[in-house]
Amino acid sequence: MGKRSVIPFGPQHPVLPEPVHLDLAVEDEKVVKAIPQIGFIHRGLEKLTETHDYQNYVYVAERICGICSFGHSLGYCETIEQMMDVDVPMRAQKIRVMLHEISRIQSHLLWLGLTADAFGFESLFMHVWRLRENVLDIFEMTTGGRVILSINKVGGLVRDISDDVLSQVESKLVSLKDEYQQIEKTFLSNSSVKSRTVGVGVISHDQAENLGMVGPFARASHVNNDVRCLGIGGYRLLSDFVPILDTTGDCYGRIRVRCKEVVQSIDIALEMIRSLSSGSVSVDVKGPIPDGAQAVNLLEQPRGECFYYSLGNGTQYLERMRMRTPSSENLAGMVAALQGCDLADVNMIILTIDPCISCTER
Amino acid sequence: MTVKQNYHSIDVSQILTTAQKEKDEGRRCIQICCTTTDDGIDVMYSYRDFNGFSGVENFVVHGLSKGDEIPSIQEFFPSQFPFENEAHDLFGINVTNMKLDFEGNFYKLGEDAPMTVISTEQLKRKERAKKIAAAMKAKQQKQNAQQSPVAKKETSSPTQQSPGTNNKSSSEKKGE
Amino acid sequence: MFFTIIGICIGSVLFALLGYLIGGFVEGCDRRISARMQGRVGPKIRQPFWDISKLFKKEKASTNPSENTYITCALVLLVISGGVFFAGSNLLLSIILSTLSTLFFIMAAYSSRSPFSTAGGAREILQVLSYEPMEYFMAIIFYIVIGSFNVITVSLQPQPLIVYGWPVFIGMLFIQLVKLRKSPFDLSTSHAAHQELLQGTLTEMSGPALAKAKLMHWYETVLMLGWTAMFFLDARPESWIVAVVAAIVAWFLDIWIDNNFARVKWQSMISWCWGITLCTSIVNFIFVSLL
Repeated sequence: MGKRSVIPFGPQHPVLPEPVHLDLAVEDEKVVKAIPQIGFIHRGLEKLTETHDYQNYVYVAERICGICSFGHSLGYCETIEQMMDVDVPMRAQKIRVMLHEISRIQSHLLWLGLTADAFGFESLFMHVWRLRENVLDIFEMTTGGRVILSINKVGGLVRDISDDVLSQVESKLVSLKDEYQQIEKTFLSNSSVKSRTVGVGVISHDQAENLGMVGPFARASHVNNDVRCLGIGGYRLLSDFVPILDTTGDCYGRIRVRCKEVVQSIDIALEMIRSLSSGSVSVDVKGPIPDGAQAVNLLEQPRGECFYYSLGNGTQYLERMRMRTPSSENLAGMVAALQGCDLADVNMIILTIDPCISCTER
Repeated sequence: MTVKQNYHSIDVSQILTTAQKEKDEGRRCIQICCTTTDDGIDVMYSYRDFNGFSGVENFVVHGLSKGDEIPSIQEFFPSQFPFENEAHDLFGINVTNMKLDFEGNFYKLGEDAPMTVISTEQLKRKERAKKIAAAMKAKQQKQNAQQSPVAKKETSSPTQQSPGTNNKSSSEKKGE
Repeated sequence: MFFTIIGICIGSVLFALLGYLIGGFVEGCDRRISARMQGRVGPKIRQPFWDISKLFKKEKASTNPSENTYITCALVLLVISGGVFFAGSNLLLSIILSTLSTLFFIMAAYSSRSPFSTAGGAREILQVLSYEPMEYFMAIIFYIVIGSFNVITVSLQPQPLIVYGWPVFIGMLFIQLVKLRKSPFDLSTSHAAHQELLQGTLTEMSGPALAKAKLMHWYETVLMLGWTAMFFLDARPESWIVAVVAAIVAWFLDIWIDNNFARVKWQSMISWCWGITLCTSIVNFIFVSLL
């Protein structure tokens, strides 16, 4: 009979990208129970609709999280445009999709580095983050910012991207794809990686559906909930989109799904660049939001399906802005996956969920 | 393409039955959202299907106030625990029978139910907006009203001269 | 006997001084080479010396004052173990003293009563369990081939130990990874606080205690390199050069494996280490008895 001890995991933990606290009841290196606690980074951002009018609120929305920054500004702008019946020009929609897919690449590369570091593979961590620097350079070339881009506004984009910058972006993406595929092959075929991740934290297809999981976390258990298939917003312009699914439902499956999604995102971004036509990138949106106007929007962020809801009250300020982020949906799945795992696997399981607690708490 | 969405109003007693029905039809609850409105707190449950997409179904319970009780749908959808705890912490709505209940400690807040507090600037803005909207509506109605009597006069006596010419003729007569 | 004790004392003092310099230099090169393997520039070679001096200047803040006592005992015992080895004295005594030093280190980890260092201490016990048998088999094969436990007798042999002791040498190379706490076997303590137990046994140590723990790591590295070099020494003076080169190659191999493998769980560590210990020892015994 082993002795039970409670190991506090987080909120300050070098391996976690975000502050989440877990009390792990451990018996002989096996986790018997995991009780999550969040709330360390609640900033009350949804209440800021009272002080920032709907045009200015984009700047608040994109600061919900540093990793999913562009996704939030895009989702917010699309929601308001839907509510006010605004037709965004085609060029702006394509550039938005391109930047969002590049944002997805950046998020997955960050995640891949942290996962490699979590089980002691420091050299892979460094190499992947070096590749990520190329992506951040692309952002700086096109929008001027590396993390918070501030290029979305209600009605389109703040500024256009010139053709020679776009051709530079295209060549950078092509070289990134080659380098990345070599690293991906090494990582996925490494025996020590497989020994640590295969069969760990398994969640079956039915469990995934019952727990309402979203994103690559669920797609590894063969649940197709990729919002990009629904053709919302700029994503209806994609020629052919097939979501990446895996059947194993363990940590290795989730790693594989995200690794393949990087390549898919590079292809989508290249497709958008090559099919761009000239035109304007914004329309003027003025005036207050009609009283009682409401809209719901869905967006596939790197971590999963994100839900936006807005309600107007006749003024320039929104009555309510709701952003339900994918990590909030995945919390129940995370607690289920941690049940009965080894202490050494706790890092791994939490990281394969890709928690973005800043988004969860806003 | 805009997202297909439907809004239905329901009662507190229908929350559980709606959740059961949506689950049986293969949809899942994707979020629970509370809004503070002039008539009280609204709670919105959004459902979406697993396979394919027929739209987001939103069921709204209107007119709750701080301290009211609503039943938890965590038995059908365990992933909703963050939102039900959030409803309690930020809006003061008591959610009963929660499977994972943080008892008010989900977010460590400085004051109770901060999202129910409406600042004075916001109230003033809304009042002003309502006045402007009411004034514009009244102006619109007045314009509509003015246009219709003029049309009636023109149709009934087309030979009637304008008052100006009548005056002129009388003054001319006087002057002679 | 008297001269042996004098020899051990002189050896310990020399090991304390030279081991510090060589250990620090080796650690600096380790960090630089690892950084280059990871595509970074890396710190200067003198960086570990600056780190240790900085740690000694810090305030003594520990959860339990006895932790300092245990770490000091561990360091002193390790220095004596190195002194015994480099003075050419009894190999078995050197092994036992180094294990005793690790046990004091484990006690230091347990003394702080934090869940991270306690779990790290438990893992460190498992690590000792994994590598200890191999060290004893190495000493036994040494005795069988050379006829004495004294290390100095190696320099009187016509041929190096590696000729008859190559299976045990392979086993030694493997468990060196565990003893030096290199990935894939850095379960109890990683060199950066990147695992689920934060930094494991070193989590609650700070200031002078952490400096002593780091010094212990340097001395262990030098001792391990010494054990590796011992396999290549014989009566010829050029064998010294071969020994140094072999030690450097083994050290470089350790760094390469550290950078390219993920951490394993304790069950795999024990099964791998015991498996290799059994195989290499049995092969060596058969080999030696046939000749």
